[in-house]
Amino acid sequence: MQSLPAGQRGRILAAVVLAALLGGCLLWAGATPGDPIDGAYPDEVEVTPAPESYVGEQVSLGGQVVDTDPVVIATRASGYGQFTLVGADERLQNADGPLDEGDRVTAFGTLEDESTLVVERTTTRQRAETRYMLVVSAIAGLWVAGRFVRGWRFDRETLAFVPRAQSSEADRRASRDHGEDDRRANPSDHPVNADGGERRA
Amino acid sequence: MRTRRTTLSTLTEASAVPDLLTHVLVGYIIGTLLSIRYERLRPAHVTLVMIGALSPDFVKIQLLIPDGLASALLGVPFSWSPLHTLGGSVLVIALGSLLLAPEYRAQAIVLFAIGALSHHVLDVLLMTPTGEAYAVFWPLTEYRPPAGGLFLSSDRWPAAVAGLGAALVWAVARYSEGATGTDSSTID
Repeated sequence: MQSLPAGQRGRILAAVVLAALLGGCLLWAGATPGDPIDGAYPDEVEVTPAPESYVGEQVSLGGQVVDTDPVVIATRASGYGQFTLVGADERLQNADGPLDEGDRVTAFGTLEDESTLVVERTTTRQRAETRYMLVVSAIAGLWVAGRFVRGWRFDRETLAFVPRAQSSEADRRASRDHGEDDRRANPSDHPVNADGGERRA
Repeated sequence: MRTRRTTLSTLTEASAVPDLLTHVLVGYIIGTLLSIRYERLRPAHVTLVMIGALSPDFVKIQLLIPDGLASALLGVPFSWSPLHTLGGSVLVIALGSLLLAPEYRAQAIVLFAIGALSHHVLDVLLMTPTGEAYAVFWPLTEYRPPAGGLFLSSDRWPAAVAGLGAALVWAVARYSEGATGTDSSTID
């Protein structure tokens, strides 16, 4: 490993260039207005401190319902940043019933005055859903990680992942602890054996 | 400007954890169907489609290192969001392929890309507060396609539907392998 094989030099160069491009994207997106994911409209973070400067504009306000008749949300956990939502219940796009106190909503619409939002769309989300999402996402991540570990192995010669031999997974598993490295003494040979990924013609 | 996040908006952001399971299941379905069609694709390759299908959600690293913290540490404005765009996917996929041995890279790029594409298609179909999806084609254009409005990322039925589909293609793959006489593990 002291002197890098020629192939590894190109690989490192490619990795450095790609990583630099990716890093550049992350910095560029941070420096330019209009984030690719965040909404294209001002949100509660910008509107709450200075609502007067957004009157007449379309904004998206996330917050918690603190009153239901009419619907009032607070954009800060402290209860500060209250906005009355006009038409919030009628424009609720993902639930039937009227909103309850404590519901988390995101309301999109036009700011009519400093504390009134005429709603085009309301979206609500329960707190329990967040926990569900974390759990199933963790399951998904572990599933993929488990599959990857079972299907691929790190080859120390090429410093890269290669598919594990495939012909009979059960036999393989039984003998995995004994001499797998011996069978693969020449790693440049294995792409042509009957394992997972064959060389592309 | 975006670095000032209040407590509550951090909460709502945290609740935007994506439903990774649906994406991964869809990756499994697509990968397995491909492996039925193309015999040389093994379960190890199906895994690559699944990794591709979850790759745009690497953006959720922001739950650990928020943009604001990253830009404070680096001293420059910073946003993880490009990871969840086509431009970001291209770079992430190319980087990911470099982890594999050279002879597998071209194939891996195709399989990763199929998975990542399925992720973006599904996410554009999501319901959003503004009725617009994210700027999926960034950095080519900041155009935001209209959101499909089909489901919220926290809805449970998409994962259930995808799970049923995955069970179905798993059974079909098993059956077709039995029919063609190839033996290999399919319980992956």
